[in-house]
Amino acid sequence: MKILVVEDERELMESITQYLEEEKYLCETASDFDSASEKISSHRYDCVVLDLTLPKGDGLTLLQDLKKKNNNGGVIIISAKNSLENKVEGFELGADDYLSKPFHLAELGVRIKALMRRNKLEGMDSFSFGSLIIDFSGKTVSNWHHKIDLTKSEFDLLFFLASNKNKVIPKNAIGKHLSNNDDRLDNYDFVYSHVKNLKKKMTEAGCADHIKTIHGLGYKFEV
Amino acid sequence: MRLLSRSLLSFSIYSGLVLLILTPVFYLVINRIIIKDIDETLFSHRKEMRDRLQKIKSESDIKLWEDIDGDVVIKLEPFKGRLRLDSIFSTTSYNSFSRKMEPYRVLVSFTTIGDSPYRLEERVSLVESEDLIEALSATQLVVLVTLLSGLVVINWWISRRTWRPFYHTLDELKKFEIDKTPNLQLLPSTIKEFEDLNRVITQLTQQNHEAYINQKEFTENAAHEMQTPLAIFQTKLELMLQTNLSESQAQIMESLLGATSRLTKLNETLLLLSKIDSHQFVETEMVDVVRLTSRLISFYKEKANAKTITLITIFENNFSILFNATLLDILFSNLLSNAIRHSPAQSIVTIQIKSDLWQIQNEGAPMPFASAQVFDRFQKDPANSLSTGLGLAIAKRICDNSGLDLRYMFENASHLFSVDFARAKPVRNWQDDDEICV
Repeated sequence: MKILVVEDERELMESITQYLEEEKYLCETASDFDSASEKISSHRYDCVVLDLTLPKGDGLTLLQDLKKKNNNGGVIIISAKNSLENKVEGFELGADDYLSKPFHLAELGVRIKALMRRNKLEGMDSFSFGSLIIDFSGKTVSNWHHKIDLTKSEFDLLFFLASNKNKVIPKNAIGKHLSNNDDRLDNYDFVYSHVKNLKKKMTEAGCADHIKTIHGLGYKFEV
Repeated sequence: MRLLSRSLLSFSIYSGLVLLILTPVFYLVINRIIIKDIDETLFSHRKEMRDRLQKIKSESDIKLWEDIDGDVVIKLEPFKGRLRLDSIFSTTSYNSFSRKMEPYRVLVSFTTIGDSPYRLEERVSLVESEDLIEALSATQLVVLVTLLSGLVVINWWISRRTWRPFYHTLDELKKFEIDKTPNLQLLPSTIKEFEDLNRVITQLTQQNHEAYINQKEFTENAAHEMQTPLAIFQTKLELMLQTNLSESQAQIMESLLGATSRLTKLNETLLLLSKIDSHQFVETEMVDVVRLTSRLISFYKEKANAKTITLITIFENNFSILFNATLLDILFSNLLSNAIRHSPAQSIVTIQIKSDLWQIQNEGAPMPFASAQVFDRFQKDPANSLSTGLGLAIAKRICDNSGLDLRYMFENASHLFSVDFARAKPVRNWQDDDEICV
């Protein structure tokens, strides 16, 4: 799985690549318009993480170039310009997703997973962890082929955690994800009760205890 | 008091005083002059009489004298006793000719005819003089009234013309909005002060507008520029989170994550505020208020339940308004989350829609600051450090920018915020008395 990270802020670029490489993605980077343009024209990427404000050029031009090539790779825009017009323009030009800065790395992780799944990349339709199978297309979870009944929030939570397996995900990243990135909630206490219910249902279904609480900071899906 | 009335009032008071004082003074002066004149006539008549009296020989001569003199009526009578000093005075007595009491000027003198003492009384009627005085006074009054009222009217007319550019400037200033490019249509004036005033006002409004725009852009740019460092900070923290943290490191990490989250929220809110200020939400559509409220309530229900707060809705009617959907969403959301945040556990938050009002009420202790400051930026309850202190400021700004009235009241130990949509021309959808509990 090859990902190109186009971001002019070196520190941010490093954070993103480090996180993604730990997820076993193959990452390449470009920190300005010209190098990004060159990489896009000579290589094929499964996903491009694209910053819109770049030295020497506009990220939206790169997006147009990418879409002209039509090589099936998905594009996730990361931008500091969090305006509706910007989002609409990005989507009109063919972006698959839009994240405004600052974002949680776990959120980027799950967006990339979802993108891969939409683009029908092999092995992305479901996760399986031993006897536990999380099926995205059917939105079902089963253990030893026994379906576990989950609410939508619980499924989203499990999907979010499993997409970032073996990573500690801070509580507020989960809270924000579960409220559809609606940041009007300034308090994510409800995350705790969702995790508690999810863990209870999974234990009842005989699952191994995958979800770990880390120092009250967040949660980790451990496999 | 208006400027025009002020000068008019002074003029009118002055004119009134002049009329009140000068009219009697004029009357008295004229009266004095005429009396003096009559007195002189009487004195010279007396002199003449004394000369003539020396020639009188008999009583019948006296009678003759009394009869022939025209203006001056003479009465000569014998007098017993010692001679007294002459005296002159005004009096009224009966006039047998006109059969009325009439004013007279009387000169009484004493003289001797032959050897016997006589009292000589000479009198002149004042009727005609008084008529004259009255006529003169009336004329003078008419002249004064005409003169003064003319002055007042002319002054009012000139003032009105002179002050017209001033009033026009005032009207233009009232229309001035700091966020719009000033376009003051000021009238040219021949008065130097007004020209100066117009010049200064044009400059001031321009400078104000520019300062405002600069400040707004600064806020917007600062907020924008902060997003990338914030992103670096947050992602680095999240990477560090993946390492094996000790208990004490985890505590530090928790504080850092919390602070980052607050900073992010604050930054987003500042950006939102500057977007509202720069009128970036322009598209309007018909928004169904009950539908929007219900959607938001289902969103906030989870949060309320986590705090064991019950949300009750009372929709007495429903209306739609032509509004920007995002702004209305933000407005209601901010009021809802404010109510939930400040409600104690196991309390009730009531959302009510009736006539043109959208109201939200929650129980709670009074604010530790004045009610009027509730909508100020960064005004927050010290007990609640998580809030940005901008939510209500944003709600207020949205209302101010779109002609809605947002009011706050604290009574019976509960906070009530109400949004009045009357000025936004709501369209009624339905009306009934059903109470829907969510």
